[in-house]
Amino acid sequence: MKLPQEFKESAYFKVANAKDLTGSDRILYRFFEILPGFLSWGTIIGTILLSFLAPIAAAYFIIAFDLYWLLKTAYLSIHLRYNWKRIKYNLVLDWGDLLSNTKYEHIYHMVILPFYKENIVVVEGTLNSLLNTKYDKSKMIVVLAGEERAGDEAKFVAESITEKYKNKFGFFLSTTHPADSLDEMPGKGSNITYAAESARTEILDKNRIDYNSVIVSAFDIDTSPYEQYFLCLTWHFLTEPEPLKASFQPVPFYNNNIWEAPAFSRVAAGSSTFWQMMQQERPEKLSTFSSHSVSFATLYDIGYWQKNMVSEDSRIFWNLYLANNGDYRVVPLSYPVSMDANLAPTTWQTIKNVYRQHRRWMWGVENIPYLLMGFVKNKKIPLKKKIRTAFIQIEGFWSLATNPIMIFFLGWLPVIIGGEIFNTTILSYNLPIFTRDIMTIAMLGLILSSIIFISFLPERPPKTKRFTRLTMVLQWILVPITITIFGAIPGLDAQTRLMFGKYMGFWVTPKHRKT
Amino acid sequence: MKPLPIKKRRFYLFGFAFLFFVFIPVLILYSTGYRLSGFRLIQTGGIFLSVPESGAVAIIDSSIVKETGFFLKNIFVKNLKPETHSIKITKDGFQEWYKELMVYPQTVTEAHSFLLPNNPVLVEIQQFIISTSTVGTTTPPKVSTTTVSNTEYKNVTALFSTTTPQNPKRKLIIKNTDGVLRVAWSGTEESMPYYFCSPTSCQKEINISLDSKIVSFSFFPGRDDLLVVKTSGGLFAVEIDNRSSQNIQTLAKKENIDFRIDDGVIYIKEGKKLFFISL
Repeated sequence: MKLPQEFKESAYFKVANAKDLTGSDRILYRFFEILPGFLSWGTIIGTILLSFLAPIAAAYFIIAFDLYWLLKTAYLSIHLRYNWKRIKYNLVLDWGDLLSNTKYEHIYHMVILPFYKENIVVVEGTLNSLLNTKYDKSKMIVVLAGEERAGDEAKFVAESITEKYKNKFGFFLSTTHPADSLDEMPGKGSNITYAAESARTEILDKNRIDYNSVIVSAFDIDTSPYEQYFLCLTWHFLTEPEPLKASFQPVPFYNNNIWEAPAFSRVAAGSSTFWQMMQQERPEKLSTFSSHSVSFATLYDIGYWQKNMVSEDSRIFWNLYLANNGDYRVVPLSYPVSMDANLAPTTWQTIKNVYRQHRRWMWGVENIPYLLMGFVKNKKIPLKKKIRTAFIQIEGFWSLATNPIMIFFLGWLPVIIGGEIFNTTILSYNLPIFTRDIMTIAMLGLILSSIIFISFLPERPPKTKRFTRLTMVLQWILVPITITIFGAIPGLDAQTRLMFGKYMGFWVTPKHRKT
Repeated sequence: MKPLPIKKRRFYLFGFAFLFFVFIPVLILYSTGYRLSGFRLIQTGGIFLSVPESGAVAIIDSSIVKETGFFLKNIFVKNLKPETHSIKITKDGFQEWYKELMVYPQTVTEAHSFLLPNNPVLVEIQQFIISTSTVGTTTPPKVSTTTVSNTEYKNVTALFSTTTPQNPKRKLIIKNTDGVLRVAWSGTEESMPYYFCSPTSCQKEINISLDSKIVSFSFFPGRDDLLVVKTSGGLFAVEIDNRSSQNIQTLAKKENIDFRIDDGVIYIKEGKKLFFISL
């Protein structure tokens, strides 16, 4: 199965930002970089100006927006609830039994675990979780991908882990990504690309393993798959009509240290999980995020992940989407992997880490100019598909950055700055009441959130107080704050940086566990 | 288990889109005061009342509408037909506030009530106060009393040494013409207080007159729409708002008194005696 050769060989295929282009291409790419921030700021500033200049029109707009938001919340809740049922079903399903009628023994799982300076406890936790999965370990290739710039301590961790686990999997490779490589941005993308290529030459080629039979799972160092993950993934891979034209997306739970994390970190983590769960039921809107899986052959064909940018996890999907002229998709696994919720030694540091992590995720907006440029240059993708995909992506980033601010802050604006005449209208009195009522009704959806969140919680550690379980329910009243501070503001932050060409570098989320 | 079927998703999507387009005009009409009356769509308005006391009852057109709470003292009543409505604010032990207000379509008529006690207590400020001191060297300790002049009395006496009550710098110009107060607005038309205007027009001047001539006046502490006026019959609080009759409530029914307002307190002088009103 050969991928189309055209677009992936073009100069646009692995562009990181406008600086990589010249002439009119550079101008066009800059325009696309400005677009998301322009739309988000335009909406916010436009609402403020409208509230001042034409408060009645602004009030009508806000009422319409409030209703849109309520209905959207209800619509997404249906998807969330359905996916909740599907994950529960998939967790108890015997995937081994399902595979027993299929020939799957030839399938190898390559798990790439990039790490930087994380504690050995975190790395061991992940390796142990791999050992606990139900898959023939002789068919598993574990690649521990370290960084030279991480120093001696990381080197020691890599050596210790290699020594302890090298004989427990079919293949085990520890790689060290060289520091200061040209044309690379230090980060996960360049590291896992180096690791994948090393695994190809050191393991696949030497052992004559067919690339088409290898599924790569690009995990984070804290990613612990649930026990049937590789069986579930194998089944989806083998039953997918065109498995080389698909990426496979699990649902990220942040359960590793959930009982230790503070409430706002849990809510931020839970909200990210819920967003992914909703997207799992809307696969046409899904791109790969964080830990994901994809065929080695597919990856090899395009030269693996981009090494020159931050959002390699989602960019790899768009690389493949454009390389396949739009004929590429994400298969939602509706099966979880567990990761760390943000936790630092102090609450303030945790707040800062959550913000930075979410800003890095929101920096995924850098895919918008890449995608739009690809649509302009790749003539083989149907126009209807281009328009639909572009709209979905732009609307998604616009919603994340603006909707919480519109709902929680701008709903009252015409009353505050609309002037004396507007303030004598019945509309000015009804507007805050209406916005408040919409918010209250929408908050009822949080009951569903807390039920789902509780249902996926791991066992309460003996040292944790019983009261903490209650806070797992009550914490959801923080949602209006968390989706603004850890959603809209980092979203605007990222879009503003992109708008002004202040490109972000990779920031490694520190993994901290209470001992 | 299969993902949510696309047909179902489309059904939900179009269902919610349908609800959006159905509800948007309904909500906008509702928010702007339109209501169904039988099969007819009518425009309504509302009344916003600020009430200074908790536990007060607002009665509109003889029906109790709301009782004010400790935190929520303001009352917003909507769905009122565009016509004149009678409003009464009552509370046990307080003088009643009554107003007849015209409600206009799609507009909120604003009113700021005031409630004074039925019998405001006048607390006398003593000229001298007794000071006690204890001498601890004897057993039992010896208590001695001395009479000293009261500083508050001195300060309040000084207030009354000025000839007229101070009129704060406001854009409301008030002139006393032969016992009748004429209130005019010197600011811009946009910032004109609500009680000067209806949705159709604004009046240039509001007159305030009582049964007997007004001798002196000052703004009620903390209010721009309420005056303290002195007549030969005593001291009264009168609202400027002349939409229907102006509410007049008694502060002190005493003849031959003078008053001053300082730091939010109303002081009264009767002969050599000084009082403050406990409200």
